[in-house]
This record gives sequence, structure tokens and C-alpha cells, in this order.
Amino acid sequence: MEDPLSVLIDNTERRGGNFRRYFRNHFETITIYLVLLVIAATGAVLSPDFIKSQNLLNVLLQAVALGLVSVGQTVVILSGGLDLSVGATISMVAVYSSGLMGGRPGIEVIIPVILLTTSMALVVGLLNSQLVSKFRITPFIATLATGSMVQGVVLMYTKRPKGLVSPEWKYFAEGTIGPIPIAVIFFIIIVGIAFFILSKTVLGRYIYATGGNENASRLSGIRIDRVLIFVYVFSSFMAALSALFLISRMGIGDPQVGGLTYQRYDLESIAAVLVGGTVLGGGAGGVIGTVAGVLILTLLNNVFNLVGVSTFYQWSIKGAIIIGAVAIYRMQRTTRSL
Amino acid sequence: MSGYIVELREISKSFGGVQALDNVTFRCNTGEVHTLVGQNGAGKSTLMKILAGVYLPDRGQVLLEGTPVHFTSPYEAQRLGVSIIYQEFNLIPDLNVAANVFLGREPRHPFGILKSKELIEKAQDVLHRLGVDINPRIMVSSLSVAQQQMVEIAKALSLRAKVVIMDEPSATLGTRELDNLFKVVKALKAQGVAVIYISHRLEEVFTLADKVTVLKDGKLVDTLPIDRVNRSTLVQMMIGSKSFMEKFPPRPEKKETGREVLRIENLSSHPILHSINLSIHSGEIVGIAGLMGSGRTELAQVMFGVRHYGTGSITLEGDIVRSLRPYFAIENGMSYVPEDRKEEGLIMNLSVLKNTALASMRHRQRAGFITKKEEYEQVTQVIETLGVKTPGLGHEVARLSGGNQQKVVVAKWLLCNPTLIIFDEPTRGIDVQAKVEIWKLIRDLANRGAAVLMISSEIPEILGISDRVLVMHKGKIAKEFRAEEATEEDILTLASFGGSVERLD
Repeated sequence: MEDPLSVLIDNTERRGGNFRRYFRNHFETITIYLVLLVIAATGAVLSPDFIKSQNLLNVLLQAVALGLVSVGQTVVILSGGLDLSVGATISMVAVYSSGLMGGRPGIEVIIPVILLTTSMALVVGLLNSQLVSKFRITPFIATLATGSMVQGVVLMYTKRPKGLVSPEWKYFAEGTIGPIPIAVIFFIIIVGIAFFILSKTVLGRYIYATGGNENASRLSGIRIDRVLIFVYVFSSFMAALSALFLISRMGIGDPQVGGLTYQRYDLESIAAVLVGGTVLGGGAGGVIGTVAGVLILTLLNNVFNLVGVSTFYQWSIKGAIIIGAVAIYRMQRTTRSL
Repeated sequence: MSGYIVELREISKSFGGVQALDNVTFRCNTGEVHTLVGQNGAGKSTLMKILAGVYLPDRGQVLLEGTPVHFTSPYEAQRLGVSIIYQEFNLIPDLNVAANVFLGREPRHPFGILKSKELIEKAQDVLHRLGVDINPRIMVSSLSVAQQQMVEIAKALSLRAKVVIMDEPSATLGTRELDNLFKVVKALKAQGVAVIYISHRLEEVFTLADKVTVLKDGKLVDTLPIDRVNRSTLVQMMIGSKSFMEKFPPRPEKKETGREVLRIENLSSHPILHSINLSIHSGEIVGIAGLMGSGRTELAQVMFGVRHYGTGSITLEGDIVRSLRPYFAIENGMSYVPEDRKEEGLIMNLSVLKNTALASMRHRQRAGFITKKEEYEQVTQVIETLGVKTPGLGHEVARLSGGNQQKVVVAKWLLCNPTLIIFDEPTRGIDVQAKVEIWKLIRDLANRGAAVLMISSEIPEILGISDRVLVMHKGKIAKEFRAEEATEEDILTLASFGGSVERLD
């Protein structure tokens, strides 16, 4: 007879495991960071300007807007959902904030405006969560529809860039602590908070469980409706932060900033999340991978621009990279499950 | 020439060491309705899947019209005239009936253009031959389950099937629909088709069959013309004489019932449950026997708040509860080990640790945070106690064996200290060793004061584990027994025929 206890528990897990186990559990995350390094190295070879600190800081700053909204998107996708309304929400918060600030200075202008416009975003998130949990509308349709409604509201308010941000608010995007932009530090803190929620709290565990198997989660006593309220409201909140960063950078609120023109934050954020290794359908992944996904997409733009690749090629290459990343994850998972 | 349309000679088949069929011979004539009966795990479906080309036999021969055949796929079996109709239909809901009947064999003009009129006419003709009144232009999605079944049968007939196998066709049908099915089966017979009919409901055997074959534990018991058997001999053949009572944990000596944990009065949920009354006391195991579709799982779902109910009342620990939810049920000491552990019991891509911890997280949390050390200790302890074999707590549950997965589900609930725990088919699809361990665990739970409700299709399991047995039939409780008073025969008879049928000698 074998001693049952010796086969039951592998004690290496208690201390977070040895390197090999760590490597296996985080294989996808490690892979994606390696890809990020390869792209960065390629950039450095192709263009001498790339590794200049000015350029790298610029890349980081560019990554903040997509990064914030993608952190929210990650949490929604982990729960088994999808949020297509974030692009319109960004536009909404951007135009209303800038319009209501109207270039007036002072914290007494900024705080009420931000509270108001952020609350508007939270209402959108709440609406999404109710459509998905109470009315059982699939997230794709629910958030596509609310996004369309929100974009309509935005275009009724203004068709052209409107208002002007309060001068102090420019500090959010332009200020630095030492050489590091404040916005980048802010983003790192947000990623830390999201990571913390997902890995250390009961709510975080429930988000993974819901995405993994909603039915079994419900039967284990998880109140799915509450989990969904959190994830959709959180996603909208992140979209609002993205918008506030964008107007700080541009100085004005553009009704198309979130998604009608060049950069569609809704689809781009989903792409970043998927490139970062989170599974569409939920249950596996996390924000650390998403950060890599965001950096990869941003770096690509940067390198292409430095090298002078036309935007048409940029689109196609980006598409190919998204397909490549997701295909690699798919293959890894299939082989491992055998 | 053997003269039989189908002959399965000395078929053996095993799956991963489990002998599903052992030297079974089965013969069927043209124009014969041949019913195949036996308890769960008797090998009925396996035998028919061999005939339909789904499985290859390990040993033995399949003969069709006297010629040995080697079906390597269901498609090939179908081409040679053997069609199987499963409980799950293979229809495309958004196509009409005619298109479904002739799917892949549509009459067409050159360049693949459909002859729509001919398609409808041919479908009409097939349906007519079956005596079925369904408009071939109608979408399959708008048909009832019974009508969809007719479309499946029409499809088989249009394939010029010589043999049609039906796997528990009546499980999902109501009484009137059942009459229609019988008519169609007789129509098939009149067309010279051999119909092999798997059923749990013995009453149908006597209505329909020309012959009946009984399987038990993968072995052939006998094949007899229907006029040579009656209900009690048939039940006797299905049960056999072997008993494996000795594997069940002993019942405790003292037998005073504890406090009433749950009482259900007059509970109805149209059209599934009718006037259910039951009460469960702490320290006892109540077994619910019943066939698939008898409402046993639905009853458990109502108790756990997964499913709404119409009328009646549920009293939990002395308080009447009106709107139950799983969350609320768990807060009040209930646990539920569901029938389908992969879909309802586990989050397959999460680890053993996370699955085990899931239901009891809120009791360990501090200000919303996971207390990882406590979690690790509690999960380790319960996993060790239950003897779950896993390479580590971080191992995905998807990669454990069925028995170990089931233990993880149970472990999850043990951490909630349930006062009432519902088991739905607790030992389905797990190996014998794990079964014995789960049985012991269920008894231990009761001995420690929990009230246990156990639903099972395995009658020996019901008898071996329960203190009290309720038999369900068509949404009603047909009868209640003390376990020592009940016999396998009583239970099987009641589950098959209901309580209204006189006991037969």
C-alpha cells in the first residue's frame, strides 16, 4: 500500500512552487512578454530613434488610454462577457467633460464635472449588467446596442470637438514625477488594483468562476447578477478614466474619440485582451497579460510610424498579429488538454 | 441463410476495463418489434450502438440479412439500412421538415439547384406512409418534441431503413403523443421494417413488442416472445438474483429520527410535479427512485431554488420559504451535488483548490479578501479526508478521473457544513472503488446529523443506502417505503407502472 498522504498533496505548491511549475502555470503570460521583447528588439534594430527615452516614454503614454479601457475589458471578458459599449462611453465622457469644463480653471470646476460625467458612464455599465443578467440578452448584442444609444446621445450633444478642458486638468497627461509621466504611474496603480481584486478577493474568484461555468457557479451560491454588475460598471468606469486621460492629452472633447474614426477603443481593447491571453468566453487569463497585449499593439504603431510603414499595411499586420497570438494560445491549450 | 434481418453473434465490448457487453447474442426478424430492456448499465445502448456502427465490437459478429458486415461509421450502417434514433435529435431547427428529411439527399437540377416541389412531395409521401400529419413546409423549430421525433423516423424511413433502432423514444413524451408513437411504430412494422425499441417503461413493452430481450450487467438474460412473459417475470429477469448489499455501509443501530429539516407540502409545478409531500429529518437518508423523466431531478432543483414551483409550500428548519434561490438555500444549510458534475458541479478549467473552496468562500472571507492560508488548510484537510487523488491542489479538475471529480464536488459542500444535502445520481459514471467510498461518505454525513436526500436510478444503491425510499412516477410520489420493507422488484414495478397498478404476484 502506498501512503495516501504522500500522493495527495504536492508540497511544492504551498510556497508558490519551483521555477518549472511557475513556468508551466504562467506559460502564456511568459510567451506574450517574450513576443513583446521581440517586437521591441526589432524596433530597436529598424530605427535608431526607437530606444530613445523620449520615444519610449511617449509609447508608454500612448498606451495609457488603451490600457485603462482594456483593464476593464479584461474583467468583463473573464466573467464570460464582452463590452462593446466602451468606445461610445469614452466619447461621451470626453465631450461632456470638456464641454462642461468649458476651459474654466480651478478644482471647483473639475471635480463636479468629473463626478457627473463618470456617473453617466457608470449608468451605462449598470444598464449593460441589467440587460445581461435580468433580461438574459447576450453581452454582444446588449453592449452593441447600449453603445449605439450612447453614441447617439453624444452626437446629439455635439458633432464637432467641443469645449476646452480646465488648464489644471492638462497636468494629468502632461505632468511627470521625475522622468515618469504621472499618467503612466496612475495606470500602473490601476493595473495593480485590478490584479489585486482578481487574485486576492472573493469577488475576483467569483469572476473567474462565473466565466468558467456560470451554471455551476450559480449552484455554488454565487450571485451572478452581482458579479455582472461589478464587471460592467467597472468596465464603464475604466472607459471613463480613459476618456478623462484622452481629453487631458488633447485639450478638447471629440465626439468620435472613442471609436467612430481611426482607433476604435471597443474593438482595440478586445484585441489587446485576447492578444494578452485572456480567453474569449471567460474563466482564464488576467490583467498582466492584457498589459502586454496593450504594449504590443501600441509598440507596433510606434515602430511602423518610425520606420514609415503606411497605415494600410499597419492595419493588415496588426490583424495578422491578433490572429497569430490567438491561434498560438489555442494550439497550446489543445495540446495541454490532451 | 439465417433468415434474420439482424443478427448480433456473441458480441463482447469493454470500455477501459469495464465489461459493457459479454458474449451477447441478439436476433431480430423483418417486420418485428423487438424491445430491449434492462436496468441502467445493462448494456442496451452499447449493443445498439454496435449495430448502428458507432462502436466496433471487441469480439463477435454483426450480420445483416445473413451477411457479415463491418460497420466503421454510423453513416455506413445507415447506407446499408440501419438507422438509429437517439433521444437527442439530429435535426436542423431552422430548416423545414422536408429539407430535414432529405438533408444531403435533396432532389436537384443540374448545378445543384433544388427541386423544391419534388422535395416537398417526396417528404409528404414519406410522412403519409407513416400516417403522420405534419406539414412538410413547416420549420422544425416550431414542432413539438414528439413531432420532431416523427421527422426523425420519417428520415430513417426515407433512407430505406430495414432496421430502425429507437433509444428510449418515450422518455420525453406525454400520453397522447405516446399513442401516436405507437401508431408510427406499427406503421413501420407494416412496411416490413424491423424496429428495435429500447425502453425503461415496461408497460410499453407489453403494448408494442413481439419479442423482448433482457440484458443484465452486460449479459444476455433471455430473448422471449412477449406472450411468454408477464410483468413480474420480466421484472424478475431484469433484477436477477445477484445482490451486492455487502458493499454498502452498515446502517446505525439506533433509529430515532432527528428534527425535521425540510418539509414539502402539496408541491406542484405543472406539468412536471404533482402534489409532492415529503419530509426529511436530520440523521436520515431518504432515497428517491424513479425513471428518467419522473420528475426526480426537477424536485431536487425546486428544493435547491434552481427551479420555480407553482403551488404548495416548502418549510426549511421550521420556516416557510417562498422564493428559494441557490444562494439562499446554501446560506440555510443546504447543499446540492448535481446529476451532471461537468456542467453543474464543477468549473472544469479551475483548480481543485478553487473548486473545493468555491461554495464556502464567504464564510472564510475577511472584508472581501480571500484568507489564503485558511483556505489552503481547510481544502487540504477535506481533500485528504475524502482521499481525492490529485497531483496537487493546483491541478485542473478537468484532468481528474470521474470519481475524483465527484469527490471534489462533495468536498466543496463538506466545507459548508450542510444540514441538508441532496445527491442526484451520486455514483453515475464512476468506478466501483469510488462508488463504495461515496456511499460510505453519504452514510457518515447522516451519522453526523445531516439530513440526506439521494436520487438514483440504481435501485440496489437506493435500497442499500437509504433509510426511507420514495418512488416517483410521472411527477408523483407513487409510494413510500421503509428501506428494509422494500424490494428491488417493488421499486422497479412502481417506477415503471406507477402506484395505480395492482401489485402482481
